[in-house]
Amino acid sequence: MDRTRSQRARSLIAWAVTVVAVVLPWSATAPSRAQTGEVSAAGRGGEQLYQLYCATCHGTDGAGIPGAGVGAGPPLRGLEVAYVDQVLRTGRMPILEPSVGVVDQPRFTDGERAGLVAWTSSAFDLVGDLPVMREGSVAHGQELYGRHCAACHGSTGSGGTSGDGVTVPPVRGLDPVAVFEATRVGPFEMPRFEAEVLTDEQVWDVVAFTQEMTTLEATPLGIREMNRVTMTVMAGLLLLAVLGVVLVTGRPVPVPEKDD
Amino acid sequence: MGTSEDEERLDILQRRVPAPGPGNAVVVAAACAVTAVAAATFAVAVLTGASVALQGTALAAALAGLALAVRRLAPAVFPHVETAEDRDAPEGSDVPLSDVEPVGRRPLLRRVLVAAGGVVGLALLAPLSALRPPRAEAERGTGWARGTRLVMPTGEPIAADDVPPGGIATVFPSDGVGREIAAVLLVRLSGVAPADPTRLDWMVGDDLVAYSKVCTHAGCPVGLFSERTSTLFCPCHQSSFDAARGATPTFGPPSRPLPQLPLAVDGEGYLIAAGDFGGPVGPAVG
Amino acid sequence: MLDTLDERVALRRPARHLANKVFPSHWSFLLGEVALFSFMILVATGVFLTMFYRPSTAPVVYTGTSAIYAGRELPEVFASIVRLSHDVDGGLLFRRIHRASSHVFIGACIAHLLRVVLTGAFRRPRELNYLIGLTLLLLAVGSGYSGHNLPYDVLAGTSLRILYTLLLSVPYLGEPLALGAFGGEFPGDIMPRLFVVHVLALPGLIAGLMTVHLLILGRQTHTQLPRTGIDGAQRVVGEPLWPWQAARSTGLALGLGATVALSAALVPWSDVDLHGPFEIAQTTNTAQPDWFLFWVEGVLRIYPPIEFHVAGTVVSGPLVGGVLLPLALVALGYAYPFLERRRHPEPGDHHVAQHPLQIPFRAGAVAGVVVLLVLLTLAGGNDVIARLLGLSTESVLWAFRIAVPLAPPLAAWGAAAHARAQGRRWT
Repeated sequence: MDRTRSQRARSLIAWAVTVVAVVLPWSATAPSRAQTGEVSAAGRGGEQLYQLYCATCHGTDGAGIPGAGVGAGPPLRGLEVAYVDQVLRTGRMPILEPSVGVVDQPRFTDGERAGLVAWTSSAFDLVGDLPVMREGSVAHGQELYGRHCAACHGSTGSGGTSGDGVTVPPVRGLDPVAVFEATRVGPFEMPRFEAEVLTDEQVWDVVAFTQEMTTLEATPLGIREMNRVTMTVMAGLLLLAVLGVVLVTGRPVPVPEKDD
Repeated sequence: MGTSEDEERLDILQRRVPAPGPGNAVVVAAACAVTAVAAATFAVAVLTGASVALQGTALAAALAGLALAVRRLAPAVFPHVETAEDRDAPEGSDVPLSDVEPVGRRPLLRRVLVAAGGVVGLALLAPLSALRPPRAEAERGTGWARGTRLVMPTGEPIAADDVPPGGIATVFPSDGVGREIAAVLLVRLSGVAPADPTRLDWMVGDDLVAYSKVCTHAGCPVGLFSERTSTLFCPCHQSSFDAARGATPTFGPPSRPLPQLPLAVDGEGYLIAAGDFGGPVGPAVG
Repeated sequence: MLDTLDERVALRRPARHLANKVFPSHWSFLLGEVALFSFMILVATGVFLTMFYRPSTAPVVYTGTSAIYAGRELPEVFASIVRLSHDVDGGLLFRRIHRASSHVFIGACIAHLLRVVLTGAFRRPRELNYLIGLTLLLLAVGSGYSGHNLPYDVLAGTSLRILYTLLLSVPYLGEPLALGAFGGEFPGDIMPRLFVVHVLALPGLIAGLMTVHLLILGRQTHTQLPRTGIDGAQRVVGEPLWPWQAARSTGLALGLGATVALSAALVPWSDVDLHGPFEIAQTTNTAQPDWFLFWVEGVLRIYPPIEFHVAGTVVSGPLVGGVLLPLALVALGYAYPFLERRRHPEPGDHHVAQHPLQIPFRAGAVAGVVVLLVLLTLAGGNDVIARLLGLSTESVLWAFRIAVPLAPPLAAWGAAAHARAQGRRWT
């Protein structure tokens, strides 16, 4: 009798732990990891990288390939250099698998990216400058983020959807320079915010807040602030745990048996 | 409830007496030790401002230890019994509720009394009218009229060039900053030409347009803008509106477009409203 | 000491009467106790929290230790929450325990309701207690809703705006109702009123009704699982309140407290540092209410864009989905014992629990309602589902628009048919 009860309690705990372990990665809404990760081989020049990974869709002359779908791409001539840097920093480009629209791991090392951006910038006359990282105020950043960014990216930076089928990427802990660049440039579906709406100092404040999202103290399970969907899953687990307590409590009491 | 002791006596069907000997004693002692240590840890953790994880775990251990101790001590102290109890049947209507019967009937006066009580009850609802807003506040319109300046939430006026192509900004009337029903979203379209039913004469230039930010479905702020498709999106229930086509609903539950605000530029180059909204603001009022 | 009390209050006999009360021992009978104990935890932690909470939205400067809010001007209500979370000893722990206990309270009420309905414990003579219990569930949901909006963070503000819209949508009475409840245009003066409702009015009603619920239960004695050799209609068999039920209940209360405290250590239930204070015309993506209202969110999302004018008023999606449908479900809940009695008239008192499949009508009704609520709850997170499955939001939306009207009647019919097939077991 004792064994069955404690076995049952143990299996319940095991079950709950397993479910938590399965659910946690989703609850953290981590972006999907590419199988290839960083592109290997050190020290390849910018032009080499461009011809290898970008020319197929953007053309060897940067004039783009007309059409839609796989193999087509917009022209790069005259684009802002910050835009190119941003998509490379976040791993949005180059597209190595057909899944567009997911912010991924960066494909190149810092050095390779810098080389690629430098070559592309001079070859295709990209405009503007690359930003230089600055410290910002987390307090101001929360206020500005809530006002301008939370509607799309979520107050906890976990992203979401925007319109039919458009995915808004998570921004918590994202490369800080990439966040600045994205705010100024407005890549893909994202609107742009120029200096009259958000000054440079204000954008660095927002960047500081996006970094705070992942440095905030986490619980021992690695959970930081939750959105309501995550909270629903957690509430379900809590109710299961309470059910476990009820089942254990409802068993007959362990009477130390008489020796007959 | 009877007075004889026999009626109160428990009807025991089965009785198991615990065996003499240590039995659960070790478990109880260990559980109590854990409880004491954990409770002390909890108190110290709270007083010294230690992490919530430590506070919560210590408290949990203290309570769990106590639960285990209770569960294991009870069978060592008491015999386990299974008992039965008779259900009380209702006694029937010939048993009086009270032993004092009325002598005079006076049905009319009784009814008048009850009615007076009802009137008092209704009258006591009158103070509920205090919950209503003050009359002056109740009639304020949408907050926009010809000449009202558009301002940022910080109070600064905004010029047409301040919003870049593909950019958005939330603005309020200058005398109503923070008034929820008056919130307006400025949108500079990029790459998509505006067309019917957008009022082109209400735009500034050929790409700057203003719509009410209050979603016509359930009132949440329509804060998302997808630049490539010129879609305004409300995150609450996924209402989508086409900003280049008069904010007509294109997806989800709304059935009315976001009303457009006519824009103009004043003498100093700042944006002003050229009139009130072109349609009803926000969700339907019953 | 007990002798001293007894000499003055003469409580020996009533105490003995109480101590000998019999409780059948089955785990499903403990669900109501879980609700009771979680309510006690809510009151205890709630009193603590109320000492520090300020219901005014007037701006104040926060001067505490939180890095994100240092020196910022915040609505006083949100500043008090930040202070509780960062500057008050045990504040964050008690905030989380309070929130976690609210999930347990509502979940336990639902589970207890399901047990009562499925075993037929709402039948005569227990209809009154069933109605009281259903009212307690609604009050618990009201407490949960008002409570999770008290921090006045961005999610709370969005949620309150939806409530304002639902009130406005009521035909003819909408505007006075909404303006009266909010004390003006949104957001009006809602926070102090919400505070009174959550801290005073609802707990008072819940405590009072719980007491009546328990007194009636004590008077009527518990239902009994069927047992051979015992006439469950005349006698109830189980363990006496003292010592065994008391030991069990104490263990349950302590175990519940331990679970909730541990969950507060592991899950940031009520943390709002990143969400930030509510600002007018500001919202966040993935904004939903708490889990027990996800189903209303689901209806509002999948309701088609139909709005029509009739008899001088408007019938809108929020009215039909957010007001009328929930009211209809609540009315069904209240009417259910009487509906089932018309279908299955069984005269006399019933004290023996039934198997959940024993009455096909009941099995069908419960299955239909459960499937409806589960589908609507899932619909409340349709964008997350679309993202997880790699489908378009539109296709997921249409899937729910088709499934929600069709699946509950199918489930009801299927459950009733299954119950009927099993019917030979109980004749």
